[in-house]
Amino acid sequence: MRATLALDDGLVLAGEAIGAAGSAGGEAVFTTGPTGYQEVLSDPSYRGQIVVMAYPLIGNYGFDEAHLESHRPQAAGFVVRWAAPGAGRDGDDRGLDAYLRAWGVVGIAGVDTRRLVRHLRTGGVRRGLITTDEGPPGSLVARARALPDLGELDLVEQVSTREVVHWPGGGLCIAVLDCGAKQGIIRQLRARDCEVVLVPHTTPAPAIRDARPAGLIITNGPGDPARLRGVAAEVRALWDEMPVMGICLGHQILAIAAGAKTYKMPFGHRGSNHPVRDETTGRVAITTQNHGYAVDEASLAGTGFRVTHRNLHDGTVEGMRHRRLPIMSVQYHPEGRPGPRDSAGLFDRFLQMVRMHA
Amino acid sequence: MPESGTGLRKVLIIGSGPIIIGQAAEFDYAGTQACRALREAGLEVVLINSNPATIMTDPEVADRVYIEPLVPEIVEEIIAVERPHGLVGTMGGQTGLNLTTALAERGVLDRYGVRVLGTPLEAIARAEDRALFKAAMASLGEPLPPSATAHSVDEAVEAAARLGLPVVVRPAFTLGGSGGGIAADLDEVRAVAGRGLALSRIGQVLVEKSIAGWKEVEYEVLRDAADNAIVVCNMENIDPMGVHTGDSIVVAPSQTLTDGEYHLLRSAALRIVRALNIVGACNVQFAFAPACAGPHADGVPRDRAGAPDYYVIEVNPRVSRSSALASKATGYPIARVAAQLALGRRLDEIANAITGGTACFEPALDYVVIKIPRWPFDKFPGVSRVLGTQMKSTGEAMALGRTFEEALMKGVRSLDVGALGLWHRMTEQWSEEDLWERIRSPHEHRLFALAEALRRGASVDTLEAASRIDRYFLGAIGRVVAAEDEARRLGPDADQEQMVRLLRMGFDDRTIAQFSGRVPRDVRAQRIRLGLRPTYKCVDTCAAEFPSQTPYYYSTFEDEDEVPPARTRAVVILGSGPIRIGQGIEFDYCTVHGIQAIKQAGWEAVVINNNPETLSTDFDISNRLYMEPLSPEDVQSVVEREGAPGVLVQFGGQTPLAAAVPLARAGVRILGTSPEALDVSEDRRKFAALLRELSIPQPSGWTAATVAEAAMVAECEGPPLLVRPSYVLGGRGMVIARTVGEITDAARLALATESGPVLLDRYLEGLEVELDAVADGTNLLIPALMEQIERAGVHSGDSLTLLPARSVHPDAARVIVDYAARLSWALQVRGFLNIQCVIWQGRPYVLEVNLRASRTVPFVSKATGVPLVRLATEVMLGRSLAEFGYAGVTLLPAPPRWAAKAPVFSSGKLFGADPLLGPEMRSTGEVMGIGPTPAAALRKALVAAGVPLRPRRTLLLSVSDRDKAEAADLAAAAHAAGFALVATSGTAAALRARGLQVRAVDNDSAVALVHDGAVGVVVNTPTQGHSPDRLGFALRRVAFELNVPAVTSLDSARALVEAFASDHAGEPVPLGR
Repeated sequence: MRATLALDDGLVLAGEAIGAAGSAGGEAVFTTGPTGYQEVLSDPSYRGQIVVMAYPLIGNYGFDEAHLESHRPQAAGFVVRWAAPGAGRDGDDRGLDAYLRAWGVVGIAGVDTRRLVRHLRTGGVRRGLITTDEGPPGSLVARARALPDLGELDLVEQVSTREVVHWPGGGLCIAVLDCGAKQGIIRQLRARDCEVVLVPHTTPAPAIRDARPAGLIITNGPGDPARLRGVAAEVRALWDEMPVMGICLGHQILAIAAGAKTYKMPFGHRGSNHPVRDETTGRVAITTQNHGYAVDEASLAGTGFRVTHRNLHDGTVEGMRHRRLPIMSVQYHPEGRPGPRDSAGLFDRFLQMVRMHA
Repeated sequence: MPESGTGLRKVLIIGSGPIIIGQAAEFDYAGTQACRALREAGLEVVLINSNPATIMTDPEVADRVYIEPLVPEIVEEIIAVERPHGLVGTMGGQTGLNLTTALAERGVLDRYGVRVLGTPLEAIARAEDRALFKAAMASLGEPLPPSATAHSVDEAVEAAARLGLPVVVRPAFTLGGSGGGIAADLDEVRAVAGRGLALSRIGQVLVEKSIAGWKEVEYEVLRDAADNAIVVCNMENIDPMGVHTGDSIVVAPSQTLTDGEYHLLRSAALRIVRALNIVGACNVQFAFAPACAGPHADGVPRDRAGAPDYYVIEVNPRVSRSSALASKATGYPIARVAAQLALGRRLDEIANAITGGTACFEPALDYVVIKIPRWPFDKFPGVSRVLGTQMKSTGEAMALGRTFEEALMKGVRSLDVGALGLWHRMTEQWSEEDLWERIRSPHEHRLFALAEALRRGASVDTLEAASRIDRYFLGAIGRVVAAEDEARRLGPDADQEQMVRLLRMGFDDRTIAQFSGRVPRDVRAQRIRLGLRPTYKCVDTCAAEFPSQTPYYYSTFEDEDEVPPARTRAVVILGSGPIRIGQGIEFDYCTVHGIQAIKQAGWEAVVINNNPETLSTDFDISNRLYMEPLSPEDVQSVVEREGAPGVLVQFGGQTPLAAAVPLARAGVRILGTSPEALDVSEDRRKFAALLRELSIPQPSGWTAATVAEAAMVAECEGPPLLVRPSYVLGGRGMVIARTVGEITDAARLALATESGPVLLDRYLEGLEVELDAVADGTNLLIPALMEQIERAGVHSGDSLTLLPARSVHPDAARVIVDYAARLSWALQVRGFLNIQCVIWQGRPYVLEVNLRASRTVPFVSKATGVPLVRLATEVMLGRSLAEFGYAGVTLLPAPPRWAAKAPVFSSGKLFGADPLLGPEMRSTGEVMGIGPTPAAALRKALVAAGVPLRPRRTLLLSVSDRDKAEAADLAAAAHAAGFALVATSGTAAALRARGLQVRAVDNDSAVALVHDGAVGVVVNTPTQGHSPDRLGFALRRVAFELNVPAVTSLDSARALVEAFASDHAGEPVPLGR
């Protein structure tokens, strides 16, 4: 079956349909990691986005439960150069096509993804539509233009947990404010024997307090952080009481809670290879990134936060710490999945902070 | 900026010496990059290398260049003169590391206050010494394959039982891993261990758990002194463990590892590099359990208590062949960055030359890279084509594509082995048994065998079980095979969609034409009609995430082409593809100089090549680099895309030359000497006619289509004759036949192995003289004549060579120059002219003319200081030699110093291959010696080629009957030079008859004397014919194992005696002094 990808600026690319028939709209973004397509597809931060894989061969090593970051694919649409037919590994012959179809995700293969990446890099991310519908290119572009902007959508609501989830553990109790948490964050905490309480992003401060956590983690998630002032206010209400760690969207929410600003980047950072320097040690770590918004460094002045990490490529804020309070955050993903585990020690740093505070 | 505060102003870089199997052009690439990086940092760079065919030994690359033997004594002398503050030993392969270690152990570095830059010596020792490495990994908790040492068969059996079968048994301290093997049961352990214990000099074998069949994965790591570390690239071997990674087909990035597995191994690689304290580049190799296709989702091993999921195989604490491949695969300049790290800089202080950003990041690929090795088995018919833990390939081709299939097909095309995609005519003749044998054990032709098995209906499951190659790769091969059927059905009216599917699988016009029974021209016309031309994508290290101006491209068939319009006139120059015997690094030297000359002449240089080891495929050498096959079709596409007015084909050896005529026929202009003239020089019949027309004498020649015809020639004309197949590269299959019987035997063999008639030439046993010249159709410049030390019949590539020629009578020299001039006029040569002649009974005969850069061009350039390549390039671009001051016919006066060239063989790597010299070229590399006398130059060259600096002055002679008289002359000269003489009985008698004092020994004692180190030089000429020569083989073998020079020709022996007549080794002198 044929499929078409149309962008709101008029670019139309033809390819073969993979996954479900139908149409999917969203913000077209690209990610550069060569491995980790399962993690990418199931990462709730990609909610509402059409993900373009820069690496051309996708699906080579099959699909399994262990590599999922949430229970289902989250990306609105998937764009690849080549989709592996059936998987390579024993006892599992689900290919990319079958996996997407099972979850009703619309995808397209056989397109010049490098061209698409260059297009998005130079022109910025933009609305796109993947469809198996036939129609003149102009009408498909018009449909892409009719799509809402990512920033207009309440995406966190779609991915945050509906109810509190509790994982018992012998160590510290950590509340995780779920804005679209990757399983990797939970795993990192559980691997350190933490008791984990995952709460919906709408949970008010008193309810979190009631769980008597020793520390709070605000997770990654999709969409514009500026829409989450409510969440930021609840976090602000708690941060005098317990150590807080923000990851990705959580980092941005902390900045907003502190009165700083965030802004939309032209095409974001998405991949497994971004160098980040820890300005406190001078050491550089290779990190996993998935964000389209960033914290405005200038707006941090006077908030009590200082920048602790910077991206070596463009100098953007990658981490911050409160001067007085035990609050730390990073824009990148110390849990990896996909990507390097170089920064997993940040969880230890945070738990150490929690222990000191307790 | 000089490194302030460190006192570091002058640095010595050690090169890797001659090309041998496992140590090739990648070190010229790395060393040259390092030189540039250090000079850019404001340092004065002193370079030492014995290999003249390298760019790094160009006077422009370093501040001072020494072409000297890479032995500690000589490097010490250089250090004493130059007094460098620092030394970089990690750019010269194993040679560089060993030399650095030796200098430290001798106290040289301490004595002269030379700092080892980059990875410290202790770290090198920890990575190189097996016991230290084992201890380091144990303390780190990184698993090594379990192993034990055994000193008896019983101990070996006990160890095998404990470790679990199968096991690998390796004798300790034998070269080339000879005598080892895999044992699947205890009886086999007894057999292999028994053999191994006998072979080991210390009576010890290593018994190791076999992990054959596991996935093999490599990581290329860079670490700075501040402990920042990155992985530049990971690579997966398609051939599982059991095949040397240099002999494996390799894909980058890894294709079958999950993200968890990728990072499990990545994390381990970083831990290891940190624990070893590497500063610079390092390669870490892992075996990964194929059965654990499990989660590994968190990047931690599933069960540390049980059997590990991976083993650490090896660490190379230096730049390597793999790092060159990783550099070309990603665009990330590993050696350049490593050199800066050696100065103590941090990764985040170094700029990424491609994006202008930081060098401290991990490249992202948006294409697939495949490397395929090329083996020299066609040169060594006796050598097993089964691959194992000892590397046997001489070179490799690399290809990029947007699908695995595309990269694979382009890679095979780049190999230049006469295959059509994954189809080769030989495969159809294989019996089922032949076929499966080539699949079960790793074999040179395994890739073709896998495809053939799929063609014959085998399932992926069966193939996976038999080969243990991951089914992902087998599936891809299967898709290519399935596409062959599509190609068969592709008619002239096929639509764009049908055609593009094949093109995106890497099929070229020629392959499609063959399968569909059409001619390539028609397929091409159809393709163009459908609007399908290759699009060229950029290699930019970052998967297009950042803007880059990297002029490094590969073809695919997609929407967008990224090549910017040429800013000025562009000329396309063709490289030489994978290194093979007879087509080595010399041609990359010529290509790089050609590129530089094009740029100097004000044009843009566009290079096409597919050899990842070389400097010509470094993206900042040319204006634009296309990593592409060198088939006429691939070349034509680039020429059309570039709108280039022409192509230069004279630099890369035979491969580009062979493309000249088809390219011209397709309408591409060949710059320089015309394709017609090239054709005359390559076509024996046309060439013979030309010589006759010019009244230039040549050895008489005949052709025979049958054995009977050959026998008739033998009867009528008589021996000796040179017999060879009509298609010849590097003297392949050529034999000197000295009896009628030998002539018919050789003809029979040639007719059986090659298509076309057999060629028979009069063999003139005289002095062989060679020249490399530049001509412009009117003027001719000959920098010097060279003479071969070996008499005619030994391939010029394998002969000791002296420049200038000293034994050529001035009259003969004048005649040779005259022949060269007349040939250059008759063929209207515009560019290179290489002529080989033999002087027989005082008269020169022309043997061969090559209208392209020859193997000796770098040697001649370095010996005479004449920029041959630059002049040739200028001429090809339309200028006259007269503009450079060379009007008329010029033979330059002899240079002030003598230069000698010695061949270097890789016999040790090809167990069973005996380095006997003959008309077929067998050497893989060469070294150069420079000195005030011929003897001094020869001595340097011989020492650089491996003869000890001061060999024991005892000569052991054992020569064939026909050589005995001549051997006596040699022995007399040796005696006069202070050598004691030992000889086997027959030879001894001949020497005594001449009144020489000689100790006679029987055959066994002769071998024992060599074994005991009592002999300094072995002279052994083989008995003629093909009768087994056990003594000779045993002598050469033991001499080889103990590093005693063994000479198989009296000419070489005479040169050796002359060279070592004086006890004085001669001082090192920098080039240009």
